[in-house]
Amino acid sequence: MKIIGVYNIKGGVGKTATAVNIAHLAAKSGLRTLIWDLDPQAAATFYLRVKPKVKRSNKLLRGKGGLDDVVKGSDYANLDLLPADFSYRNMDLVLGENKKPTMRLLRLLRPLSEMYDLVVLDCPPSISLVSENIFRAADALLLPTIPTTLSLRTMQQLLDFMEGHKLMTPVYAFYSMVDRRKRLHQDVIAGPGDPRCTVLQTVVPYATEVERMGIERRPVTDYVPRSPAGVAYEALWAEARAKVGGLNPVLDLDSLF
Amino acid sequence: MNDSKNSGFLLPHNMGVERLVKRLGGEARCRIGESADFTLRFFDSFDWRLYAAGLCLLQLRSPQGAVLRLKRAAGGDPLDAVAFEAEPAWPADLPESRLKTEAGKRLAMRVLLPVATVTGEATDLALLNEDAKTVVRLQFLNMRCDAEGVDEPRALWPRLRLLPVKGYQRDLSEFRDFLAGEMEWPEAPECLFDEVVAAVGREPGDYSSKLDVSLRRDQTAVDATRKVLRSLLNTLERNIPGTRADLDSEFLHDLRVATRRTRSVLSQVKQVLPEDVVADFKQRFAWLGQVTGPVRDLDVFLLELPRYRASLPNSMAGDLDGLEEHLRIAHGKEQAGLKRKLGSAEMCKLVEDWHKVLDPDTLPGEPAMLAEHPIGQVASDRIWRMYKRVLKAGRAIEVDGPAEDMHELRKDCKKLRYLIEFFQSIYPRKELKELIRALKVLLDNLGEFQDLEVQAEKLRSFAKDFDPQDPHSMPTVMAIGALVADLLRHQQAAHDRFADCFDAFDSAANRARYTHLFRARGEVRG
Repeated sequence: MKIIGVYNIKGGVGKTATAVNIAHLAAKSGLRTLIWDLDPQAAATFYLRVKPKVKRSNKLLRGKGGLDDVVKGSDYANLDLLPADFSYRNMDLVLGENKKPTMRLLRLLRPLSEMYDLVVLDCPPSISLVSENIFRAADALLLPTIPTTLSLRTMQQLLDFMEGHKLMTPVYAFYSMVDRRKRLHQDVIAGPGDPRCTVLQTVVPYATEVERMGIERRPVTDYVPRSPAGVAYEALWAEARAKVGGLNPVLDLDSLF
Repeated sequence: MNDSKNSGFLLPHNMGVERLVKRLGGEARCRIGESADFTLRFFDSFDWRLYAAGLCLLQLRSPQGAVLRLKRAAGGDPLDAVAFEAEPAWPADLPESRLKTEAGKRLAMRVLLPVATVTGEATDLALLNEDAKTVVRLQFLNMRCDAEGVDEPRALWPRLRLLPVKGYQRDLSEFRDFLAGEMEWPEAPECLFDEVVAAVGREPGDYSSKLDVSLRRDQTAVDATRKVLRSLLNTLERNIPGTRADLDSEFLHDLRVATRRTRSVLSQVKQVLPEDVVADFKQRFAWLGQVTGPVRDLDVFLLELPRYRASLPNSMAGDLDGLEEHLRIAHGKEQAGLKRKLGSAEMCKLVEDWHKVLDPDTLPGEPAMLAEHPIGQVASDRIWRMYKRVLKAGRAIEVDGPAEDMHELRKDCKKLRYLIEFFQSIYPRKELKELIRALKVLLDNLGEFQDLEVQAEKLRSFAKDFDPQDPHSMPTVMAIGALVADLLRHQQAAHDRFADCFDAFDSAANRARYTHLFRARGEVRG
C-alpha cells in the first residue's frame, strides 16, 4: 500500500480537486484506492456524494474502532472514501493525547494495507500536528501550487519545516489553477524552483469544469475526461504514479462470477 | 472491498435492461452504466478430475483481458486467479501460481478440455439514494452457452448480481429483501457451472475409467456378463476420438484397459456367452490390443522421462534430449498409424458387431451351458478357481527362478483382480476393499518387476538406433546406459520385496476372506 498526501499550507489551491481526480483515475486503473478526507470542510466527501459523519472520529483517532467501520464506497468501483467529520476541527487536540502523536495516523492506516493499494490523503491547510502526521505517514507529498509569489513562499515554509523536523518524505510540486494569460503565472513557471523539491511537468489549468465539480458532484475525470483539466489530471496521475512507483493493480478476484 | 458476497438473482427470461430499470423504479433510482461483452469458458479433464476434487476452473475473457480462475465448486472466494490469454491445455504450461499447483496436482497427465462456453453481455447499473449516490452496484448479465455437439446456443437465465458498496449495508439488505419479497425473484446459485453444464446436456462425472456395474446375485450369468461388457464397450468407444486426436495419453490408456478387461471377460467367464462368439471376438479384441500397443509403450517412456532425468546425475540429465527427440519422432509415426487403424473399416465393424452381440434384447448363437445360472454362483466359482491358481503359482516361485514365472503370476493376478472388479457389486463392499488392497500390493510389486525389465530392454534397443560413430549420439547412448543400470537395480529391489508381498497376500486372514466370500458360494461345476 502506498500513501500519497495532497497538501498545501495555503487553502484554495486545488487540493481537493487533485485528490478526488487522481484517486478516481487510480481506481479506474484497477488500484484499490481509499481517499481519506481529513479536511473538516469535507469537500471531497461532498464531491463523492457521501454525507459527512457527525460523530465517531474522535473515538477513531483515540484508537477505539478501526477505520474499516467508517469507510464508505463511492460511486466508482475500487474507490472508497473515509468521510470527513466535523469533529476533525479538534483533531490536533485528539492526536496530542496519544503517546506518539506524530505517528498516530500511520498506525491507523497500517491495518488497511491488505485492503488497498493506494491511500490518498486530502489534507487540511496549515501546518499543525495533523500535517506532521501526514508527512510521516505519506510515501510522497503532492503539492498543488498556484504560480504566484505568495504561493512560492508557502512552499518554502513547508520545505523549511520538513528540513527542521528531519522529514525525508519526497515532495512533488506541480502548478495548479494556472492562467496562461497571466504574465506572472508564466514567469513563475519559467523561473528556477526550490532545489529541495521536484516540480512535475504537468500543469493543471484554471478551468470552470473543475469548479463545476461542486454541481456535478463527480470527478472531472468522470464527467468530462477529455476536457483540458481532465487531460491534465490524467497526465498528473501518470507522473505521480511513476514517481511513487510500486503501484500495480492486482487482479480483481471479485469481478464477474 | 473484500466483503462482497457475489450473490445475485435469477430474472425472468424476457427481461432486458430497460424493463429491469423500469421495474426497479426508473432512472432516478437506477442508473445505467457501461456494457461489455464477455466470454466464460469452463475447463476440466475428460474424466472430470477437477470436479471430483470439488474444483471449478474457468477463463473469463472481457475487454480487460483474459483471466483464469480456480474456484471451489461449493462457492466462496476463488482459490487463485492468473492473467492468461491462451486457451489453457497442459497444466505444465500455466504460469507459476497456486492455481497451477492445485490444478496440476489433480490433473497429472491429463489435458484440459473445454466443457462449455458462455457468451454474454454485462451491463453495469447503479442503485441510487435520494442524493443520487450509488448505494448498491448491480450487474445485469444476459448469457447463452454453447458446447461441442450442441446445435445452437442455449439461453441461460438472465442474472442480476448485487455488489455491495462499503458503508451501505442497510441499502443492500433492503434491496435484497425487495427483490426476493416483492419481485419474488429466486436467488441465483453462486456459480454458473451447474446451470451451464445442464444447459449443454452434460452431467459432471459422466465419464470415469472406473468399472462400477451394478448387478444382482440372482441375475442370470449371461445378462450380468453382457451388462459388464456393455459398460466396457461404452468406455472403449468414448475414448476413441480422444485417442485418434492424441489429446492426452490417458485416452489410449483407458481404451486399452477396456480392451484388456473385455478380453479377460471373454476368456475368464467361461461357458456363459456362445462359444463361436467368444472365439471370434477374442481374436478381434486381441488385434485391438496389439495395434494400440506401440503408441502406449512410447507414451510410457515419454511420461517417465522427467523421472528418468531426475534419476541421473544433474550433469547427465540433458543428455536424454536425444532420446526424447527419438521418442517423439517414433511416437508421431506410430500415432498416425494408430489413428488410421482406429478409423478403419475393421475397427468400425468390430464395434458394430460387438454392439449386436451385447444388445440386451437378442442373443446371437447357441446359449452356453452356464448362461442361465445365477451370476452369484458363476462369479464366485470363477474367482475362487483363479484365486487358487494364483496361490499355487505364487507359492511355487523360487528365489532364483526364471523371471518368466513372475510374469505369468502377474497375468493371473490381473485376471483375478479383473474378475473381482467385474462382479464387485454382488459382494459386501467392505470385505472386498480389504481383499483388493492386498491384491493390489502384490500386483504393484509384480508390475514394477516386469515393467522395469521391459523398459530396460526397450531402452537398450533404442540405444542401438543411435549411430555409435556420431559424436552427438555418444552422450545419449551413455545416459541410456546409466538409466538401464538404474532401472535394473530397481528391478532387483522389486524382486527382493516379492517374498514379503506374496506372504502378505497369502496370510491366514486374507485366505479366510477369500474362502468366506467365494468358496462357499461357488458351487457351479461346468
